[in-house]
Amino acid sequence: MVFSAPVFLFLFLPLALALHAVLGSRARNGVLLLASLVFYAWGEGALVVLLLGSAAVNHQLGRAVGRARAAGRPARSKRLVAAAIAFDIGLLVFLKYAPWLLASLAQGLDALGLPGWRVPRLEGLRLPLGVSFFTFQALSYVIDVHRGAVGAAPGLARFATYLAFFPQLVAGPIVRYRDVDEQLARRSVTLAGFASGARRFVIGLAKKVLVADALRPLVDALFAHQASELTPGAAWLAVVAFGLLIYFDFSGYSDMAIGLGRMFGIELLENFRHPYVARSVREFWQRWHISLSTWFRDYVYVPLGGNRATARRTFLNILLVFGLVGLWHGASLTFVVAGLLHGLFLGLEHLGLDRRLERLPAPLRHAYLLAIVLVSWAFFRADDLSRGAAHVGAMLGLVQGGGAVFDAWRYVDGHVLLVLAAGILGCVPWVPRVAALRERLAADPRRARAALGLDLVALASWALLLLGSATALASGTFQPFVYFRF
Amino acid sequence: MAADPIRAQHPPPRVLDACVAAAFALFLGLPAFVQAWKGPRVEARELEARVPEPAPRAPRDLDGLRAFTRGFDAWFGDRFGLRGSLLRLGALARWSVGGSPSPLLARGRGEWVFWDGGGALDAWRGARPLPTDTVQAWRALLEDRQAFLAERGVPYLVVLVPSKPHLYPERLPRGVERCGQSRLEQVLAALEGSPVGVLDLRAALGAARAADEGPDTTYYRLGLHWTPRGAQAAAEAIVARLAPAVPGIEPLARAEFVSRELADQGDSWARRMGLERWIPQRRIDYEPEPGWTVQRERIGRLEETWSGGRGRARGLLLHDSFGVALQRPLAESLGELRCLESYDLDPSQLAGPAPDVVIQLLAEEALTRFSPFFTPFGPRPATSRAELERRFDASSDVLLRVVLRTNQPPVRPIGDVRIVAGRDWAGGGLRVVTEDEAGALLLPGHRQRDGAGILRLSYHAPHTSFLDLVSAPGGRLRYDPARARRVPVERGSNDLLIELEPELLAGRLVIRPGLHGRQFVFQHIELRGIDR
Repeated sequence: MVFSAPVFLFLFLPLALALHAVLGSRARNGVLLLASLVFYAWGEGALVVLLLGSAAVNHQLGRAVGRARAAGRPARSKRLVAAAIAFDIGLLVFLKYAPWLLASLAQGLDALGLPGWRVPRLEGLRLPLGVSFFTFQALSYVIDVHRGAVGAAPGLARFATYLAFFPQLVAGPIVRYRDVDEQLARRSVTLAGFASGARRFVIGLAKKVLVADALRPLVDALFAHQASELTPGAAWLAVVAFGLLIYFDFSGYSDMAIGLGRMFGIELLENFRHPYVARSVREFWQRWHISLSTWFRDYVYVPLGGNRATARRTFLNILLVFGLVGLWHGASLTFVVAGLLHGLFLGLEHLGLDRRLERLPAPLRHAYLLAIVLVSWAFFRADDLSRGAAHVGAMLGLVQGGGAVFDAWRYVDGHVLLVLAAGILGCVPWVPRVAALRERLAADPRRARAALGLDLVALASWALLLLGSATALASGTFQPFVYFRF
Repeated sequence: MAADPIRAQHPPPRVLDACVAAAFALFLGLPAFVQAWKGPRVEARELEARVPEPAPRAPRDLDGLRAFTRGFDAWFGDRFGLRGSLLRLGALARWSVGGSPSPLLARGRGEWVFWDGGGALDAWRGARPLPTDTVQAWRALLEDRQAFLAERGVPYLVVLVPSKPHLYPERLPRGVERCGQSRLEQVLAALEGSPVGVLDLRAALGAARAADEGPDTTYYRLGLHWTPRGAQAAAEAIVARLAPAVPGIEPLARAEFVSRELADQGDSWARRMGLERWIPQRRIDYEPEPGWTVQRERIGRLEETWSGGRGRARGLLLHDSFGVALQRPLAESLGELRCLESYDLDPSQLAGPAPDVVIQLLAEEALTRFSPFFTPFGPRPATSRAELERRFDASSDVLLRVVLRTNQPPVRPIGDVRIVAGRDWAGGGLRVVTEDEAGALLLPGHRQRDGAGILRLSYHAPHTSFLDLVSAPGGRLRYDPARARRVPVERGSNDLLIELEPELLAGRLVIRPGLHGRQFVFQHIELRGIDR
């Protein structure tokens, strides 16, 4: 089930909200847990057992760690954390990376003239949706209990509710148990909170269906070509459009998750803060997928030494962390290379590049960041490394064959132009500035009407987004019969 | 607690929060309310010319549960309240900002649209030429038919219908420039020197295009087909070409035709979506002043017969959607015309009084969507299902069993096909998405033996249509109607048993599942040898 599907919006969500509102506070977590399990099982079927199994194991490990800490047995606590790491990361590696690793091994053996066919293939293995998210969440819980950042969850039901919480289960943000523990124990849903959640949800939905989904055909069409078939303009358009697509898709999902959380009385942390206005890679990662970058910072980078190690060691740690960040996104070297590219420049900034950058005018710093990000997107989106490299070559005008050439205009009409413009505008943090203006107006009794006027404009804009999103999600179900020539 | 960039120290008035909450509740609940109020209204037939998704079957096991949820999503997606209105509103909104109402259409200049499904515009501009094998297969297929008909003394004329970009290149969107031969030009070039009679309609339609005046165009602005005037020009050209060789044809004089505007806007995407009031198109019809004498009788869904025309010749027209407007003026000249909406020539179609001429209408798009490799020639004798099952079960000679629950699909795609193995379908299986009709799957090599075989294919099809099977020696597609089979399939799950003659087992098997842009799921593929 996806948030933009009619069955979620018009069947599942109204039912879940109604039950959550009608039943007493004691039953609310039960409603959330049941709804979350139904949500997951709807798409993943029996794999919901895996989710529950992960919850049970990690909950027990968390409780054992809590008891070990309370008993003053830090060594035992560490061993239990190690067990949690082995279980969670092992599960993730097995489900997500093992088929790829085994296939790569087989290919490598074949290349050496060895019997690669003997390497076992994991036939029929399905990758459970959201496994990258809930394993990281579960692991963060056990580690946080070990560090004393949070107490062990009192009951499996509450922990399972946290782990399976459907708003963030399949696309994040990666939530720490310590951030929601109290809310799971005690929360209320107010009119202001619900309305705020509804606003946020619709904004996220609009980002996804009006921008991201509208750009997807353009991106798919451009990346389907060989790089040699693209003009430099088309190659740049491809990465810019993909950059917008992935941002609006991902941040849209996060907005919807945050909005849904609020509607159920749970506040989730922000996951994106207009990353494309950043002027350095460091700043970019303080704004992009914040829950992932902070997870890696707190649970990988810092334990490796963080900024306290030598400059060389820190540089290598950064490379390692970002290689893992890339790998987290998928079992492919293209993701690893994209991650390493970020890691390389972040490491160089750490070594002193950032001080040099600060002397440059802001537009140049911004251009520096965008160049790195767009080149990394070329690898991120490409099917394989050679295509990623070829695409970068096409962007630089270095790759062009003698065959048919596809110009950027081939795929751009008025609607696409509008979406691209809206997307670029949406990357700029003008909403917080308007909100700040509204605050100043509202704080002055003589200008209260102006503040109200802004509120009404915001309401009308939101309603327009809602209507637009409704038409877009209906369009998502549009399947003209091919002979219809339509 | 995180700071909300929207929320403030001076929050909006409570009444605005109430408005937001109410509007959101309305958004969530209105479709169900409308559905309950007006009753379920499924507009997939009108808007998308397809059968709505059926209700899913109740699950009996875990695999069935996944199939149920997917089926329910599809069923609900076709039926939620206000769907039709929202679809129309969305199409109108995209059109109003210069966009296309559908991913299959390209928005041209001056509010013209062009078909772009399966990369049709790239095929037209020469960016995606047909492979040489395919072009040669077209020539071979048409020559086979010509020879077959010549043996029976029946003239055969292949009429190639150009797609709209040939006639209105100035209306094309930016970025669509010629860089090579179109597929029409490729096939025409291949047919030079061939005994097949070919009529290229570009000249005749180009002349008609030169006479366009305002809304009276040769092809529809908002559609993909020719207007009545365009069809009239085509009929004239066909008649002029046939008249010397086929006695009894009566050419119609252009001067006797008068025009009149019809209320029906003709081929228009806006009309199909019920938006003709906002995006109108005028339709000018042409008919002879004394009126038509020819009468139509509909025999079946894809077959019509016209009779009583002025001529005394009997024709058989094999056509696609371009043939619909062509039938009447052509039948008026011939006298009698039997029309089959099909690209195939089945010898049984010549049963009864033989036609004086067979006209094969071939729209340029057919060269993109229709594969000449998969064309069988004539029907095969059918063995009963029960008998096939008995013989299959009795055989232990397994020539091929394809394991489909795998992340390493054992079948190889041919053409524009994406394979998604395993996880997305109940019970595993191989999910295949074809982007064009030539898309096919090459099965692994099977153990060779003398004799026949039976192929068992469990397969989920999105539409009632047909599945094609060919035998490809060395894994290479080659035009050979003796090595091609066509099997009708039903929408939904099919458990097919296909008897294969020895010629079909002599090479690797290639399956073409059907229509492009659709998903098919193969769940079981097994071949067993049988003794006849």
